[in-house]
Formats: sequence, structure tokens, C-alpha cells
Amino acid sequence: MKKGFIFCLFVLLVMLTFAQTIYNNGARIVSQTGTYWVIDNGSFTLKSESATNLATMANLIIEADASLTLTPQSFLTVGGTLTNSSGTDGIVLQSTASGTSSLIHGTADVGATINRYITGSSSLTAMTYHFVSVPLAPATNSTASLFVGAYLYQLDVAANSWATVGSSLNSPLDETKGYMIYYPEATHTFVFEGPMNAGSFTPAVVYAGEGNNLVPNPYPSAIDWNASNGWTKTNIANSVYVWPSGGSNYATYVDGVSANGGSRYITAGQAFIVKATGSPPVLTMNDNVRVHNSQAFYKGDEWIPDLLRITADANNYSDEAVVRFTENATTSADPDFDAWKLSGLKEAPQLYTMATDAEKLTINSLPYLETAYTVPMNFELSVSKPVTLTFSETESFDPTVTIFLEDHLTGQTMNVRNLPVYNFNHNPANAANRFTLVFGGAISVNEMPVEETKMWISENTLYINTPEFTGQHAQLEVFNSSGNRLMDRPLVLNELTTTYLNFSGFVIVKLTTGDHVLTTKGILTK
Amino acid sequence: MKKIILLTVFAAIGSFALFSQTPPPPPDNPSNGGNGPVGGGAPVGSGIVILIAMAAGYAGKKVYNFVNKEE
Repeated sequence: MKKGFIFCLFVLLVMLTFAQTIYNNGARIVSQTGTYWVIDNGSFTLKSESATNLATMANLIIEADASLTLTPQSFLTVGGTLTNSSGTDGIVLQSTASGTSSLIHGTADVGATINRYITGSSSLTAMTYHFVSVPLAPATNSTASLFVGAYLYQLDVAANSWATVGSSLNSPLDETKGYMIYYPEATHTFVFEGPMNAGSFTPAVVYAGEGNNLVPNPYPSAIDWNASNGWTKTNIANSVYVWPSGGSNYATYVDGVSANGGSRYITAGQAFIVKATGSPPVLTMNDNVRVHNSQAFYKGDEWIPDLLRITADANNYSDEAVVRFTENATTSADPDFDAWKLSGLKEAPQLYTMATDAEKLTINSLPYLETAYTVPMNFELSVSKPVTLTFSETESFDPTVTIFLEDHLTGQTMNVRNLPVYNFNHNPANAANRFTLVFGGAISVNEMPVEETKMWISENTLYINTPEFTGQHAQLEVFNSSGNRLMDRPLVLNELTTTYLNFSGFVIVKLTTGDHVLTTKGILTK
Repeated sequence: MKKIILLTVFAAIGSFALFSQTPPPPPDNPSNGGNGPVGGGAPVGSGIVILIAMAAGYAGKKVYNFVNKEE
């Protein structure tokens, strides 16, 4: 009996010693269509040496009593059929501080063990919340016990508020919804055992309240919100929002533009907020939206023309607002191009611009116009603190475009292309609507037909581009912001007429020739 | 005194309105309102480690007893 026991122990040790590892160390694992990888015995581990070394298998079969473990930062695509006869022990997706493994496959309901590493804090005021998904197939009868030890919330759409799920282990969870957790220790790894999602998935989305729904990334891989195929978004705005763990304001992304670190990529195991804009809202996704690992492939925003980013720093927190110009946008809130302002911590700066329909926007997309733009920009903060506004990416505009900040409280006007930093002392009693951004000149002349660019101001020079009126007489009038006329004189128009305006401050220029009236406005610095 | 209370109430309402755009940020403190984590009490992460250690010790003792008994 004793000998038998020692023999069994020896066999176990041998098995552990020779557990096999598939090293994907640069010579990419690629199998041809129609071929099969078969793991018929023992435990294998797939280990990618770098995020760019993807393993691609045409088909994969894991026999009973065999298993395949993907180490963190290992990425596997199974293009054909994935068969797992070993239950949830047959496929193990690891997740640690160094990263999370990723699997893209097309076979639904394959059993697996999916690990999800998250950070937390023993301080309950560190705001280390995470939006999370239950990455298992719907109707798995998941319960809150999956998140044992964590404070668990869901987003009450109708009430627009966070509602606790409670502390019961048996509270049912809906795999088609996202959840929010707070783990009261530095780190933790949650484990999900069950059938993985693949193929079409429809999150639960309702049109109620303000329409904000927390929806899951249901797959064991990242997803691309900007994927050209695979999404159905009916009555769903094009913006997404996540809470950055330990942050103070929501991160957001829409139409190629991010704010506060937002991204088009939703990592595996994460949930995100979308906004339903009408009834019935429909959101579906399929395998075409799946990608491997957001961080490995995320290169940041692509260069976006005609985009101004404003960062407010105060009280050791920050917030961002973005104004950009693009075709097809409007001056009101655009579900396709704008991201709404979602309130952050009241101790953190809250910066946003206003659409013409009074909606508060973090990312405000505007159409190209030939005249100057004034964009109201609001600032809120619950405490008295010095504040720094930093204006960046101004180089994305044509050099002829002027960008000014007006502070209505102090009466100051500054050219943010020349002075990209503005400091002021905030008092919570101050009105939120103390700022205006004034965009002058031809906003992105490259995007507009030349003939539409009639008149603009650059620095203190007025440009009148009216070749069709060459030789005609015109009357030029200049008004200040109070409506007082500062100039009234005749002109004979050339193909391009220029005249120096020897004034300072905000002006409105009116040119009348025959039946045609052109207007523009801008800030003169003299 | 009444004026102070009224002012305080007004300020509180004003403050709420200032930041009332939805959805709100996550709660300042997840334990507010007596809320507790799933399963109640402290997280079980370290408890599992202790449990496994105790189980391993118990198994080791069983093996030791078994081997000695055979001899």
C-alpha cells in the first residue's frame, strides 16, 4: 500500500515537472486553414513573449483531462472551431498585474475559467471603482457570489443613479448588464467559470431617465467601439464612458476623440456606459468588434485636425473638455459626434462647453463655418482653489485661425495660441458660465470650398475674399460688443481685400455691397 | 439661526443642482448608508489563503499518519 502511494506521488511529480509550455517567442504560431491543434493529454501553457506575438490556430481541440492555459499577455485566436471536452478546467485565461490574456474564437458556449485581476484600496474614499462584466454566456444563472468581498453596484437607468446590489451572495446577476465594484484591498483576482460568449451578443439597453446604460464587454478579449463592422447601434449615441479607477472624472470617447484618457477599446472583463437616445434602443455586437488587448494596440488618438483640448487642473484633480470642428456636426448636441459631460467628483474641476441646445458637453463637435464661433465654456468646483487652464493641440488648426479665451469675470481676453496657459482663482460662488472660446478666421480652410470663405479676421487684419465682386463699391462697418459703430467707410473691392482694424477687443464686421451682406466677428488685440 | 438653516438648505440644494447631470460619479464611499460588500464583512482573499494552509497542514498530517501506520 505504501509503495503504491509513493509511486502515485512520483507520477504526479513527473507530470508537474513536464507540464508543457508552448512558447510563442517570436516565431508566430500560425496554423493553416483546415488544420487542427489537438491537446489530447496533459496541461499546456501558451506563453507569448510579447504582445505582438499572436498565436493563431485554425481549429483547436482540447480532449478530456487536457488543458490549455493562456498566461497574462498571451493572445490566441482560433479562427475555426474550438472544442473543449475538459469543462471549465480545459481553458484557463490568466490575469495578473502584468496583464490579462485574450482569446478570440467563434464557437459559443465553450467552457473556460476566466480570471480578472483588478486593483482596489483599503481606503474606501480612493474612488478605485471598476466597471466590470460577467464574461459568461447569458442565462448562466450567475450570482453576486462571483464578486464576493467587493461592494457591488448596478446603474439604475430610470433613476440615473448607482444602486447597490447588496451583500447577499445569492443576488442574481444579469450577464447582459454591466456592474460596478469597489474592492476594499489593494488587489484581487475574480474567477468566472462557465461558458464563454462568442458570436452575436445583445446587452440589455433601455430608454429611460437620461438613457445612460452600463453594458458589458461579454467576450474574453477586448472590443473596439469604433470597429467598422460588427456593431448595430439603433437609437444609441456614439459616445462611451468609463470610470477610471482612482480617477475623479469619467473618461470618454466619441468619433476618434477622447477626453480624460478615454479609449475606443473596452478591455476584457470591463463594462462601459452608453446613452440611449430614443425608443427602442438596440445595441448588438458580434465577433467583428473583438480585438486582442486594448493596451498593446492602443496608440492613442489619431491626429485629429481642428481640435482644441482644454485641461483644468485644480485641487490635485483635473478635467478635460474638447472642441473640434468636423463635417456633418451641428452646433447642438450630436449623438454621433459629441460626448456629454458626466459629472465627476465635486472636489474635482468640472469643465465643459455648452451646445446651442443647452446640453453640457465634454467633447463638442462643431461644423465648419466661415464666420467666427463663440463657444460658451463653463467651469465648476465646490472649493476655493487656484485653477490652471491649459490649451493644447492648437497646432491642429490652420495658422490663420485665431482662438481666444474670454473671462467674463475678470474681463480678460487672451490669445491661447500665443499664451496656452491661463491661471485664475476660483470661488464656488462664481457663476459657472464665466468663459467663452472665440474661434476666428477661416476654420480649416482646407475643408471648405474656397468660394465659401468670404471674410475673416486674423490678428488685426480683416481679409475680404470676394473675387466675384472685384471692382465693386462696398460699405465697411465695424461694431464693438455693445453695438457701438467704431468704423463706417467705403471700400472698392479687389480679389482679396485687406484692411487693418486699429481697435481692440471683440468686434463684429459688416460688409455691404449691392444686395450682398457679409459679416464676421473676432477678437482684436491691437 | 433660522436664516443660517435656510441658507444651509439653500446651499445644499444649489450644490446638488450644480452637479446633478446624470449619471452621477460613483459614491464617495461605498460603505455609505450601511452598505456592505458581497458576502458581508471583510473580503475573503486572505481567508482563503489561511484555509488552504490549514487544509495543506491537515493533509500532511494525514499522510504522515498513514505512512507511519503502514510501517
